[in-house]
Amino acid sequence: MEKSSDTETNTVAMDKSSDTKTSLVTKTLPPVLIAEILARLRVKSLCRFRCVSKLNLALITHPKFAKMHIYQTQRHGLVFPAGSLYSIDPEALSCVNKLVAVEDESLKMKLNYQPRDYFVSIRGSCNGLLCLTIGRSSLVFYNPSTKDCKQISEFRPRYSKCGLGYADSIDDYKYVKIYDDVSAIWVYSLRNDSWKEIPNNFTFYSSQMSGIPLNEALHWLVYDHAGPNRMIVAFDLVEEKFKTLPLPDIMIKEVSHSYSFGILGGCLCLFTEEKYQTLQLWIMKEYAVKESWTKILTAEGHSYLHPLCYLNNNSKTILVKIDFEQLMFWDPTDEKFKIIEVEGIETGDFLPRVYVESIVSPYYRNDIADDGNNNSSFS
Amino acid sequence: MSSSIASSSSSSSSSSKKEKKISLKTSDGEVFEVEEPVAMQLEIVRSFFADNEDVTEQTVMPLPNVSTAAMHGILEYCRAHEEFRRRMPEAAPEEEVRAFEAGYVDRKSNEELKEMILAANYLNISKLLDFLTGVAAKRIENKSVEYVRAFFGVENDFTPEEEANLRREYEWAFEGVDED
Repeated sequence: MEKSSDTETNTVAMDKSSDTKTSLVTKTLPPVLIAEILARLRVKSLCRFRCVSKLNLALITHPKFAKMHIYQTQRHGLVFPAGSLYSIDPEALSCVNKLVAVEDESLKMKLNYQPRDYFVSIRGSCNGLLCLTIGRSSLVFYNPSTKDCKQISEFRPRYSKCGLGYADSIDDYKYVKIYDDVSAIWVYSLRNDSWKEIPNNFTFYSSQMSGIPLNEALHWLVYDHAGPNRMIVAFDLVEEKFKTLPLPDIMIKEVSHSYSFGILGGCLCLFTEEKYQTLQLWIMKEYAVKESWTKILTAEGHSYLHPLCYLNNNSKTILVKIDFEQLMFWDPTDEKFKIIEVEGIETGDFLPRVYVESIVSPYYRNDIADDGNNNSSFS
Repeated sequence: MSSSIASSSSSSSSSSKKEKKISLKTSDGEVFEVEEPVAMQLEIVRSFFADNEDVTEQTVMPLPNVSTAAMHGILEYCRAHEEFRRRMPEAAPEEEVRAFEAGYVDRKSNEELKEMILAANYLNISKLLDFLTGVAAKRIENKSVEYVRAFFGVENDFTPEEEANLRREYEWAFEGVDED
């Protein structure tokens, strides 16, 4: 640093020109600060601002930017597999009373499907990417925020469990299919764009089909009424092995007549209910730590609730869905569940999936992952 | 309103006991005498005084990357937050903080906002930087590409053909954009 000031004082003329330069430079933000601002925008704006300049395009399409953006915005969307794919913006609840479900036409158009073959099921949701099966033979990775999609061919579709998850340490998205009748698991890697067969003899019972992605693993709740085998089973996406996680004591000792398992604000969570009366919501605050299971809510008079997400970045307003009925949210101001009216579809028939708004692409980009020049903006 | 908060804080504290001041010198040579707890919100100042044993109360710390105008804005924010912290050490009064912050940035032009972002980044005040980048994002959200080029002061370095191709990939994102 001192060296550079030495050379500047050598010539007065040089000094002057560098002065005017600094005053200009102060008006131009460095890439790292431009990225900080862009990371706080909605996806629609980002898709448009790729055209601003080559620097903007490089920042927005960088894989590290996608992660930074998810971390900064944490905005949730909801999709319903009601034949076609319908989306709802639950975060709009703060300004409107009624939500409108909009059919996602772009997916149908991009994939060029005829209406009679077109029936969407949601198999997984992670970091803004959905894994869908459409018709009988295709598996589609779809980002409903950017409308980017990637279709691969499906095989052996009759699996019992599946899930889409992300492993940060190997920077890869994996789609996992588990069979009851075959001693093998099939894993698709988005990074390698290929399937892999893994021998497996571990079987478990769960009424839940899609595993919940968290901490580089997919999670299922294993619950039998007899009691001894209640636990959470996790499939580790890096080691490609099963492990187990502990449940709170209430789930081990007592018979809950209904229960449901999910994720809220990056923590695994559980609704338990006794004798059609008292509903409790538990979250595992620290991953895999039994003592960290904490009861965050108790309510009377509700049954068969599924946890969906926190609304408006507020860990007190919780969005839930009742089985075969409406959407509701927990209003912390008067500690009551309130029904959300939805126009456009019969929400009762379908269990929605939460996704986070993101610009994660279903096309893995190896080409810029190791670009040292751009990495400096995302330290 | 916010300036009255800041001045009342310094007068009330000076009456209770003599407060330690820290001298900060901006790029255009002006020296600011800043109350210690306010100055310590500037991480660059805090670490300068923590790491250098030979600095005294008389030391004037030069801040060559911060203009006098930006310094006024930075101190207004830090003084208000110090006042909130003093009144409610456990949790800041959320509504009041929001009202202050809204009024605080309303008066700033885009150029002033960018200058403050650069200053907050250099002075390493993460809370203020977080707040200001959020304000900048709100100002360009749902705006046109041309508006954003002007906001960042960047030239379009794509050929017309390249730009047309990029637009075609996300045509839907160009519908329903706010007027500049």
